[in-house]
Amino acid sequence: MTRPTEESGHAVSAIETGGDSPLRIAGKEFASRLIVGTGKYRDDETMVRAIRASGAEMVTVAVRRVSLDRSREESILHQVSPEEFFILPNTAGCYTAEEAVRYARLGRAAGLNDWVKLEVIGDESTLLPDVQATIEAARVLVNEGFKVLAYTNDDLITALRLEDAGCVAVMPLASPIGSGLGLINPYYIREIKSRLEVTVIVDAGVGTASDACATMEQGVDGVLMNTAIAAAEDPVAMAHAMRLGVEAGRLAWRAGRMPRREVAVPSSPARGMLD
Amino acid sequence: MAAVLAVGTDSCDPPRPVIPRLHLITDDRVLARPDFPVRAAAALEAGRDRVTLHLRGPRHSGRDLWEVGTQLLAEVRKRSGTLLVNDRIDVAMALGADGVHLGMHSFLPVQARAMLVRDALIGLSAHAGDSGTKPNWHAEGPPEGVDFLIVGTLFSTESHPGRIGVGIEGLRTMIASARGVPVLGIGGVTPARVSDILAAGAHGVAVIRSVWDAEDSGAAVAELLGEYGWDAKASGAIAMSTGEQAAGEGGGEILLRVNGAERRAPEGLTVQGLLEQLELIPATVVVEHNLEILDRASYARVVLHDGDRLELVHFVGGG
Repeated sequence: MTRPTEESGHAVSAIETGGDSPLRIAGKEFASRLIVGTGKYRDDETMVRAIRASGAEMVTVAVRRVSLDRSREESILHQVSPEEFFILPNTAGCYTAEEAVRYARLGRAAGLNDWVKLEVIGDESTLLPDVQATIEAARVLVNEGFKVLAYTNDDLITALRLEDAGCVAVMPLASPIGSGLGLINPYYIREIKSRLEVTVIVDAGVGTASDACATMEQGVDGVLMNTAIAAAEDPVAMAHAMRLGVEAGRLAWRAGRMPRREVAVPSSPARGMLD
Repeated sequence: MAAVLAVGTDSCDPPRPVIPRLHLITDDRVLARPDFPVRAAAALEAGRDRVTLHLRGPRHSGRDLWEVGTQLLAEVRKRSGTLLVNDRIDVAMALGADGVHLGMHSFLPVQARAMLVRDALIGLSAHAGDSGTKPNWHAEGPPEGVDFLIVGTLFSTESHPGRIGVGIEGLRTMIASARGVPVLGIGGVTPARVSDILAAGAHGVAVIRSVWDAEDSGAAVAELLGEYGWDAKASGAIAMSTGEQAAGEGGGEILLRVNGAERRAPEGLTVQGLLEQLELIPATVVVEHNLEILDRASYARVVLHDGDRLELVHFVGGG
């Protein structure tokens, strides 16, 4: 069997599948709708290869104390160059609005950009967001000129408040951070996407490529993930799978799925059957 | 929103309890005494939030330690003190103690940290090596995840008669290789020796016998604390006043808090100078000085003062 090629007409041509607008956040455009984290990789080389395989242009980083004995990790920017990737500092690990504001300011002071992935955690075991503190911190940061991409629950009202606060993207979770449980509530995610005007990116909870695909099929603008790639047995292969999953899901959403029916409808004509 | 902006936390890491400067350690013998609960209450009353009680009883079962610990913790909580459990992470977890103190045969500090709550206090005992003054962690500095070290034996004691004390000089050497992690001295500590130990740069002292074998454990604690140069009733800004005192004795030295650890520095040091000392490249680091983020261009101009708090941060991998 020969592989379908464009000449044979079996494959969808670039012209047929193209025409999608890029991911737009705060006036900046990204060809990839996948954003990836840089945490939890077993080594730097695997991380860099995986990020490249994912096709992501934007990567998240965390702000932490420099270890003063000089024997430990150096800045992640030695591995992930700001020349090659757009660096999105996060406020991961912060439990209050004050902490998150402080971390965001430190991240901006690094001098790369004024973007921040705002994350205010409300509970240690589920890592679910403290939505009230998130809104509070978002207002402060927007006021200070930050481009705020806010991690939040899959709750429409909070998402609307974050949009009101001036966030450039609202990022509801698929399921808890690092859980890999996939998209738990597609209905709420669809609802958020349909009601918000700002960019909606699903952040956290994706476990494998089918989750990424199913998430994009809800019509959201993008997906952000870290553990699903970093904790895969082969992170580089999984990163590639995620890229394809995101692209497939996006394309499927744009294509418009067939309506669901509760009864079967034959695919072949009923007419022309033999007696 | 002003409230959000105005509130400054000490550090964005979860707030850790301040490490008290006097640690009272038990042993199997002390725990077995019928008057121990009374003595413990008296010692805690005298020390309140300035003492940490270490529940240590290597030959006690976990269940027995838990039973004693339950009573101790109630006494500790009444007086805003802290309770650490020696070696037994499980007992600390069952009790909801403030942390653990680990020995050389315990789980590693990072492993303990993973099992305990985020803000657990984790101490580590570091005995002098064979050479007498060489700490057993000398090569890489203290292991990751340690909040403080208890080093000794400083002076030979009845409990370890065979062990030669490292003395004040040995203590200095160990403090120098502790890389800013607070160090407390143990072994033969008496009130008369406290000022020398602090002058050597120690964060404080840890005692067993001088409190539990004293006629009045409460009075013994008060006497030891008296040697720190504190008003017996004063609380609060203790860390700073002791720091100033110690620095004053050193001459032209200031005490900084850099990334959560105390660090001595010469008077007149600038931020630029500090980064050079630490061999950090200014362009890769963001400096927060007393909660204010500094412009990189100002590093050479900003002179550090005693008691200044600095956070040096950079980007690491994250999701």
